[in-house]
Amino acid sequence: MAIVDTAPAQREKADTRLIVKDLGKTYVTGKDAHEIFRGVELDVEPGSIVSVVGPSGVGKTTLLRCLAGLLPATTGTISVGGRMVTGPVPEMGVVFQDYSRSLLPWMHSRENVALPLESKGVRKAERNRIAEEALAAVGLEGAGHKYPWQMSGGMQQRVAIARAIAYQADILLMDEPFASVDAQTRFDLEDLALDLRRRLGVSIVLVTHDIDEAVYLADQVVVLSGKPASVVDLVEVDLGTERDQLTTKSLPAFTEARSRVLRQIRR
Amino acid sequence: MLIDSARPATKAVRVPTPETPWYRTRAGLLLGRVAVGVFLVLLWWLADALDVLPDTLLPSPLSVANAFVTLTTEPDFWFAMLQTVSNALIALALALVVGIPIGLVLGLLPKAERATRFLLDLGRSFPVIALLPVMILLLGVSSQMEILVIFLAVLWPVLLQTIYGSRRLDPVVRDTARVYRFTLPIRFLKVLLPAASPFIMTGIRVAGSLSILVAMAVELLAWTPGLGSDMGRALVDERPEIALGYFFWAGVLGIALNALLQFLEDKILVWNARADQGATNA
Amino acid sequence: MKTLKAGIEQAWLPIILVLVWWIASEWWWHSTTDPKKVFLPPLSQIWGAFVTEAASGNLAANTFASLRNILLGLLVAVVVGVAVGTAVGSSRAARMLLNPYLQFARSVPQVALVPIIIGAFGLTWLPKIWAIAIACVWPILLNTVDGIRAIDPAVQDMTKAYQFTRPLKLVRVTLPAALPQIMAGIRVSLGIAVVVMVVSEIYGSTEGIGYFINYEKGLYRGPETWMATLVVGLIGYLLSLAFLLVEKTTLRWYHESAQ
Repeated sequence: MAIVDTAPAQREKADTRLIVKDLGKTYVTGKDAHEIFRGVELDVEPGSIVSVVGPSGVGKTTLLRCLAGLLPATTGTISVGGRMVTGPVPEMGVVFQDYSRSLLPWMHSRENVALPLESKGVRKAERNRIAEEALAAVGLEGAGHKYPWQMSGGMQQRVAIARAIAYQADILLMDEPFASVDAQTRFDLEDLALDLRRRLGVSIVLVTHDIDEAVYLADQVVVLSGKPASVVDLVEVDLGTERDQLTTKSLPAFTEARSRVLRQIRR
Repeated sequence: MLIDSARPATKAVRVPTPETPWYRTRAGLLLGRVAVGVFLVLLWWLADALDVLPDTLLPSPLSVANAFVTLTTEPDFWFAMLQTVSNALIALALALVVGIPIGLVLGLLPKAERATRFLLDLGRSFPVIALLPVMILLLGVSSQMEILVIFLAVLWPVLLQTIYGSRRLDPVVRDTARVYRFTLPIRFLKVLLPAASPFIMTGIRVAGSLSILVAMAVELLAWTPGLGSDMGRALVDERPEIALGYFFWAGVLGIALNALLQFLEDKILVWNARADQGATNA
Repeated sequence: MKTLKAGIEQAWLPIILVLVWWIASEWWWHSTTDPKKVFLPPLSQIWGAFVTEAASGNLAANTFASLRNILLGLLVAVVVGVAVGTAVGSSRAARMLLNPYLQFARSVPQVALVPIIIGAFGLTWLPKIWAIAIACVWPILLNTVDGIRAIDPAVQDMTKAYQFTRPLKLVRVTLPAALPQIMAGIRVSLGIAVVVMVVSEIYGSTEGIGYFINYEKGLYRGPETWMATLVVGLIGYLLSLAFLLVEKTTLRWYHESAQ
């Protein structure tokens, strides 16, 4: 299950634009049908960050799982770099909400990070090198020998992010990645996401219920609301790529975007 | 054509696959299981027809089914079953009478854990059936000997589970009972026993299944009266289909006993939970 | 110092009981006139029998034969149980359809198969290995199914999202994840293996420690019969101890992460 167009393309930045058209998902059990969301349109340019916000239970996680290829969508199309996508692809790395449960406890963190590469057929020395680099990129240099259960929540989440990076993903899909850590760790991880975009040029689609976080990180905020859910607003956030927790959050543009998002959700 | 936009788009959307597979429906599951059973019997019949295994090992399914049914018409069969079951249940009752009090006491004494660890591990891993020859030397071939062997075998699950249950008694509850000077019998009955009862019930259930298995093993090897020795006799008489009939009946017996004990366990635990609720509501 | 204290705390009761047994049985034996006392020999005679048989190599040969049967039977049970259990556990359909049959297979008196198998295939060691394997496969199989079923959906998602190849997923993810349950199943099977071994050797055999017990009983030699019985108990204990060590090493991650 992967890319429909089989032309082997080089990994260029232009090739990693994620375009979602008219995406919808309906669950059918017996005779009942539950429409979760409909008509979702996204345009994630290479190196940009898109936040998806909405009230609890609206279907944000379902949307992300469809993007990741873990769930087949009922209607609509997803394309990466112009190629249609119907399942998990090498260009997309996923960071799950339950990071601690997606890390394997019988392997230390470097092995966890390197494991998807083993599936790709990368040789051992190369795998370890890439894994070490990825761990360093998320600030866990030297922690490769530690087991997930020996690490804090924040560190475990960094390992999960490192795993997505090591996979050479151009697009990171993150499902409420910073929800289960304390506030200080959350700020550090948010800045890490910005840092990764700056240094590696990855695009990020981030699902969150935290509006501050959504606006702080994003170039675009997609507001999902309603039942069935749909995109009620698309807020462009013009705060530049250099941001920090103190100054950015006191800018008027931040407050304005934030209020607009909040209003849309409340509607 | 009116398009009602407020309703979820059911007809307009083409859903590729149904989300409930066939085997998860009640009818589908039953049919599927029956189909598997039929398939297994067919395999058996084929193996028998092709003489893959000697007839002394694998008689035809028809002959076994026939024996299975015919056995119920023979009074000797029911008598043997009564023998086996009564041996097993007497031994089980003895194991409960001995094992539960000792287990409760041992669980309460923290010092006893270290001192008894070796003995309990030894007892747990000891294959009691190995005691059969010495038991025969001492007590001869008799039902009493059989009951003693079963007792020794089923004592351990009951004892061990009771000890676990007793050990896990919330220290707060234990201290409260002590502070309020509940007398020892009350402490035992109202505090310790209910708290340990889930574990004790598990022990009884395990012991129950085990008692039938050990009873049959003793009867097979020592020829004490019961289902096991009848099965052994069928083998000596070169009637393997009858032996397999006994074999399957023993399986049915084990399942029935387990179901009964599970039922009792659920009843007692519900009663227990209700008592807890009553206590907190009071 | 700490381990010495722990050692004493665990050893004093058994040692005292052995001493009491030695003294009491000796006293009883010399004071009673019951003709059946031959069958309840004092510990001193049991020990004497042990020394004699151990020196002659008889004990070692028979013990080795029994251990060989147990280990080979268990090996077959593990291989078949894990393989079939993995296949069944990975398919929800297979699991639901086969469940009643697997539960029934577990409830039948496995020991009853011993006379059937020995009757058909003879007194040699190979049929005993089959008997042990057949009896032991069920706990391992069922536990493997449970272990596979209990794999965290987050892990399943992760392997799907990162496009894990099937062999890699099986070896590096599925089996290690199910290993705690599989080991629990093997632990149960170990006890069953010892029992089936004893039964098969008492029923029909020309070697083995169970055969030894029965042989000595046939000669009405009390001390030797008791001695061999205790040796079987010791074997059972040592095997479970050895397995506990294996479990501790392979499941270190499991025990340490469960905090």
